[in-house]
Amino acid sequence: MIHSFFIFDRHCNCIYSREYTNGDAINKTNDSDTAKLLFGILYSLKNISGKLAHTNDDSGFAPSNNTLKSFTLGTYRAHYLESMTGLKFILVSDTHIDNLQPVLWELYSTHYLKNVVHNGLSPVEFLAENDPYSKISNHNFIVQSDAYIQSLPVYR
Amino acid sequence: MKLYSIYILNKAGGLIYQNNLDPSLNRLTANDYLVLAGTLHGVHAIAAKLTPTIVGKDSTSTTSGTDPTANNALLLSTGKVQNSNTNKTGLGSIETDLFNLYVFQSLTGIKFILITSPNPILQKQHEQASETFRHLYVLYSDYVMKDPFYSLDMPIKSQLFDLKVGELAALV
Repeated sequence: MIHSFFIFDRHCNCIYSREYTNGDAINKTNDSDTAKLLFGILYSLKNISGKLAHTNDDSGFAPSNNTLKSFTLGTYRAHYLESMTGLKFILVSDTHIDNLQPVLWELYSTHYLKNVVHNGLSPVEFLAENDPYSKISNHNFIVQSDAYIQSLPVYR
Repeated sequence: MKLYSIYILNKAGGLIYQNNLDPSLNRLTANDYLVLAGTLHGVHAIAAKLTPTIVGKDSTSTTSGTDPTANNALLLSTGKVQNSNTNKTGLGSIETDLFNLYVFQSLTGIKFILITSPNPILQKQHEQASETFRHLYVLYSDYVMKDPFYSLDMPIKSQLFDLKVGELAALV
């Protein structure tokens, strides 16, 4: 079962958050503390995983860093994907779901790219908190990503 | 599943034991290991705070130690001070491309940390990890806690414990 969905931009601002706690009733929360705590955890764990291991292939490229995929917090698991541009996508589910990387990739490559990046009216950089443009408010993105997440077999 | 490293943290987040069994992981400086231990300790505490707010409704597990009146009542009735570190639902595990990390916290606040090879079937590896934690806890109780020369929360220097941990790692 999927609990919530967050996007952070490269300046560590939460630019999108959605909770699916009650199944059908989707409520958009203004509770930014959850997002901040989640980001703090994510940031620390990302550092740890990068520090502890890296692949040493001799292909001439810089050693690619070890990437964090998911972490469990008590009875919940947060799945994590970071794009090359530093956008962070997080899906929070229960611990029985092993791997949501393809789902996160789909959310980024299809829904986010098509509706937010390719949209000329959407701001390039979302501004800091308490600003009308601090969150993604694109209707198509919200509707399509919600529909996609709710159509997943692991949603309920 | 292959064990890469075992760490033990005391209840203040200090690293009191480390055993790097496999050279697959980067070797850090002694200071970096202490930072790593402290970070994991902090993240565990933050995670315990975060879990109820994510779901908001059915959170009964983590809030047991936070109600001050309940704490006082317990203190008066039993004479025992409630340990502030009784949260058991903090950070459980981390999965990355190159390793998995598991955290187990005992009732006394000691954290055992295992770093293992990654495995796509997480559920099975979780069971294996908790089994290993059980054995490790038994070893800790037997060879560290029963050591008359060991002082609490200080680094573990016991050779016998080292030996037994090595045997455990060979079995996993």
